Amino acid sequence: MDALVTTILLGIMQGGLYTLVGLGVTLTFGVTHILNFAHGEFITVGAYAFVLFAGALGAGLALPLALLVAGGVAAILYVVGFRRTIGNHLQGLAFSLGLLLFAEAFFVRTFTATPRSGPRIEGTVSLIGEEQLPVGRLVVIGVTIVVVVVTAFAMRRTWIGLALRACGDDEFAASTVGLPARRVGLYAFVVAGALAAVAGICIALVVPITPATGLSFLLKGFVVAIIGGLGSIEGTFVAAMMLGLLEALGTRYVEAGLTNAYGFVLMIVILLVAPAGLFNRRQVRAG
Amino acid sequence: MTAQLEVRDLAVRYGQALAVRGVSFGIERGETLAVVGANGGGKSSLGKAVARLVGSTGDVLLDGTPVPRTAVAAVGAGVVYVPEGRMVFTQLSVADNLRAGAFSVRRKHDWEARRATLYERLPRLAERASVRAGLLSGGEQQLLAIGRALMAFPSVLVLDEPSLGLSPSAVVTVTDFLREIQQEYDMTVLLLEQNAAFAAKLARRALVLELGVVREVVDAATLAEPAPVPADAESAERQ
Repeated sequence: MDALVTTILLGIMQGGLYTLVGLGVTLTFGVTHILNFAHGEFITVGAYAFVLFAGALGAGLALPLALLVAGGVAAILYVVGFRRTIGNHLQGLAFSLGLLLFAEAFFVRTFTATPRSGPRIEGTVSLIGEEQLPVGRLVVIGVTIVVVVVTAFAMRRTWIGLALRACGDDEFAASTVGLPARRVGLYAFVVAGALAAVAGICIALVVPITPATGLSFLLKGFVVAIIGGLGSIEGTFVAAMMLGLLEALGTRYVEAGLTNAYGFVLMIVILLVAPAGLFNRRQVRAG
Repeated sequence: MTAQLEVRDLAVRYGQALAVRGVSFGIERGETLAVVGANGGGKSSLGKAVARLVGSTGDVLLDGTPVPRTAVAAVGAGVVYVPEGRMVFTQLSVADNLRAGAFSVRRKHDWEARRATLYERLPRLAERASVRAGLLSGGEQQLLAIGRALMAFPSVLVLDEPSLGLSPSAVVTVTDFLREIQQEYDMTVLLLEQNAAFAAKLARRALVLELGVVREVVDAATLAEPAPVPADAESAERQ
């Protein structure tokens, strides 16, 4: 019973991180139809920027700077590269895969493969009975929940959020009412980069980071974006929480060696039942 | 009197195919001009070219000034296109569909006031303001698509097949709504329509477009009689 509470909390934390990553995948795909395989590298960029800035300037300044760096990198990559591949899936795929390989090599060369730790939040709290949970993990749960709620709210209430949803819904219709699709794509990439950076910072707060940190989360981000029904925010959140909890429970109670398999099994099962994902309503169009 | 919207020698080319070949016409302020003709005759391409949604050669002038060459800028200049097949944002609420229509004018005009007047005129949409647009009936979606375009404060409205796939009673509702708003907002309307009877209800003049060229300009009333184009074969097939 005690262990169950801890396991569920860890699952929620993991689910929160997957939500941040999956939202970026789903947003950029929804607006630009680019499946960005290099998306995970924004996590790594954010994580390293946070660790490096924290060492030089302190954690307080490092937070906004890491977001800025990752958002800025995403913006630059969109303007010089991704924007030109819109409408050509193969080009987008080739560009993002090339970018992924380049980034991985760049990080290994610049930061070496040795794990690095940033500022850690020390201490543990006792839950029920014997179970202890590091404070850092609780902080991460809090941060991801706040960021996801703020993002969801902004998507509903702000003009940029409306533009992102409208362009993701029907690009041609969006152009008929004067929505600038290319610029909205830039918003999508910047928001996705910043959300990935939040995930990167959170990861750096609880575990040492390596050049491969982003990549491992990217795959999960893809899984939740697809299960959620590409383009759906609620779907991504629900799928991410399902995956996080499934992994945590499976690791603890079934077989720890299969952690990475659970997500893909979940994806296969859900796609067999609902081929367009949980929350994909794109096919629904009343006549 | 000079025309508010002046189209001169407009041509649209897709690769080797010429969809519109040198079309010229003018529309007076507040007038509705229908463009009729069979499917594939270039109506839609003509409308999209006027709204700058597809590339074209020739001139499109609004009050004597060229309409800018990008879709976003054309909306800003007051030329707004309502797509064939309605194309509402199915996953967005009715209210958000209308708000999205105002995106380009959000700092220039009182869009909330306009949305409120649209709701007064269309109580059915007002009731369903928070409903996803994909759940509306075809007629409601058409009204919403027109309403969304009105949110951009157009002076020229380009309507692409607004009666397509609608029930007869929905067609009547759409016709009435178009008449009212055209009066209220003093708009010039370019109506691309293969249902000649519907076109005759809204327009006084009609261009008959065939294979991308204007075959004749007729009194729209004459269209209402035996329909010169088979209107129903295609609309039935699209449903």
